[in-house]
Amino acid sequence: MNGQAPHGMTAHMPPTYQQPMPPAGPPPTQQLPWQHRAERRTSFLAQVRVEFRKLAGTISDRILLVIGPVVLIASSIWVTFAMGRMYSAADQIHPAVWSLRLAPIVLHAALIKLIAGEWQHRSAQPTLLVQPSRARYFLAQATVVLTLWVFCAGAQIAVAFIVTPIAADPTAGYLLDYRPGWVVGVIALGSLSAIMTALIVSMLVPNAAGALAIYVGVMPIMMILQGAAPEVFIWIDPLAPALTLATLSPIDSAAPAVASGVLWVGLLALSGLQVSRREVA
Amino acid sequence: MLSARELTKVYNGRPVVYNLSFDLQPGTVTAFLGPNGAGKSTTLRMLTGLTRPTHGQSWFAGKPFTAWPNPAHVAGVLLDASATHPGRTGRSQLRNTAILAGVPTSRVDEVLYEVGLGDAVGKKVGKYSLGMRQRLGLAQALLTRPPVLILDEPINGLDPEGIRSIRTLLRSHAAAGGTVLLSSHVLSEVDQTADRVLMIGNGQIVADGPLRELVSSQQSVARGPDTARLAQVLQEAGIGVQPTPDGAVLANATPERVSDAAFKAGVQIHNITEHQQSLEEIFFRLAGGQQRR
Repeated sequence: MNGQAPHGMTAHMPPTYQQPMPPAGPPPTQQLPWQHRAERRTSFLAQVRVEFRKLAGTISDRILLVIGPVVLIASSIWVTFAMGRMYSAADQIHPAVWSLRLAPIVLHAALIKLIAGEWQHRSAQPTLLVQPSRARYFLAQATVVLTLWVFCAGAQIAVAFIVTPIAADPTAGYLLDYRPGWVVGVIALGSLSAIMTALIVSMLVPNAAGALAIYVGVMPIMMILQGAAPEVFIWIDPLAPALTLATLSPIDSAAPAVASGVLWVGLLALSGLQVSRREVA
Repeated sequence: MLSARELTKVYNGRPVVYNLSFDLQPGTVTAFLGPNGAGKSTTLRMLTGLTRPTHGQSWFAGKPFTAWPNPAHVAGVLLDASATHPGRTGRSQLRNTAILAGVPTSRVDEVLYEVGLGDAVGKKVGKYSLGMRQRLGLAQALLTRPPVLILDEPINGLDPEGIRSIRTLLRSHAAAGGTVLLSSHVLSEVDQTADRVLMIGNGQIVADGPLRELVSSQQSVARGPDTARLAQVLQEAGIGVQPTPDGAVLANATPERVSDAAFKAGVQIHNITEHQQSLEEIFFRLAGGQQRR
């Protein structure tokens, strides 16, 4: 009797005993109420709304979202006043560029908690069981990232245009007014590069604490390297394109900006690929 | 309603699930049984699109789960009750699901009360017990009132009252025409719930059939005033026998055949019943001897 199914049972002892089965039939022609509901896709905006709800889903998230803008604006203002003499246009945009890396760090932390935390706590699973498209999931999170970027860049642009004239040396005058497009371009590009760094870390490290530790650790290291070996670091600095555009690059060429751009876009693609293939535990 | 054909998943050259095929009909509760590591969860994850099969496919009402634009309305799935963010509240978690599935958020409180989490809706999931997390997962599965329920070990961590209410819920879901696939490694959990058992061992289905037939052993337990004489008579009739610890005779024949043999020989029987194997016995007989590939 061992190894055999009891009388009346279908024994499956693959591969030799398994019965070939016909393919599944076509869907029923008459639609039931659940079929009607199942055929209606929920809007992408609903998915984005859920990602925003998750961004502010916990008490610590909400604390970060309240403190983040304050830190962003206050530290940008502080750096602008602390920078001292600002005689040239490059000098005057320098505080804005300098604060691109550190000022949004709290808001970036909220973002890292959202994205890496989803994988750490496996809360991506209930989301993907309801909306299985990883592309939509990724795009919804990307929309949150872009919104945060617009906010960070907007706040930093506002600080540059409002605070810099006050902080600028009166003998040199305020020079950024002559080239507002350049100011917006530098800050928008730098802010995008900074938030992309946070995004890449959070996608590559599926653990919120680990990703936060890496991000918060890497940012000061980047600043130290920027000061200690600027001509070397610029080649891998995620902010190299913005620094080059701001004429603050230690190398007078577009090559470091291109190299850094290729590196970080490649890392973004790699992290996207990893997320798309990651097992949802 | 739910069909799988030749589902196979290979990890690092080792097949974890191999060539699984089955069809589930509406109005039934099917138990997916097997020990830990047998491939149950991997199969359920392949069915629901979380894991890509190496080979094979599955369909819910004719379409793969992921091909439905809003699959939460086809199947409510509970795979892992702990797969929730501990810092969010039960209500917040379920509201997210409701928004994603296009269900009115008023349904959230309703379903939370249905599963007995009405008092804990505002509590962080991290402070939930395992049983409460199971209930939350179940609430998520039931949120859209789907025709199919896929539940991976839903009774884990539940108290007796919770177990009873889940059994009732699953039976009433099937009675209303729904389809339930319920996985478990605790065999006694499903014997009062399932109509059919799919037993999996080492990634392969080792038995598939109605629970009644699965537990049927073609053996009888007979008692009488003279069990030694009864055993002798049955042996003379060509029926294998062995004594049981409580003084009865276990005969390798149906109760009808045992009764006929005893009647012909004029031996008295006080009680005769069909011997039903425990699911544990069946499982170890069917799956336990297999070598892991």
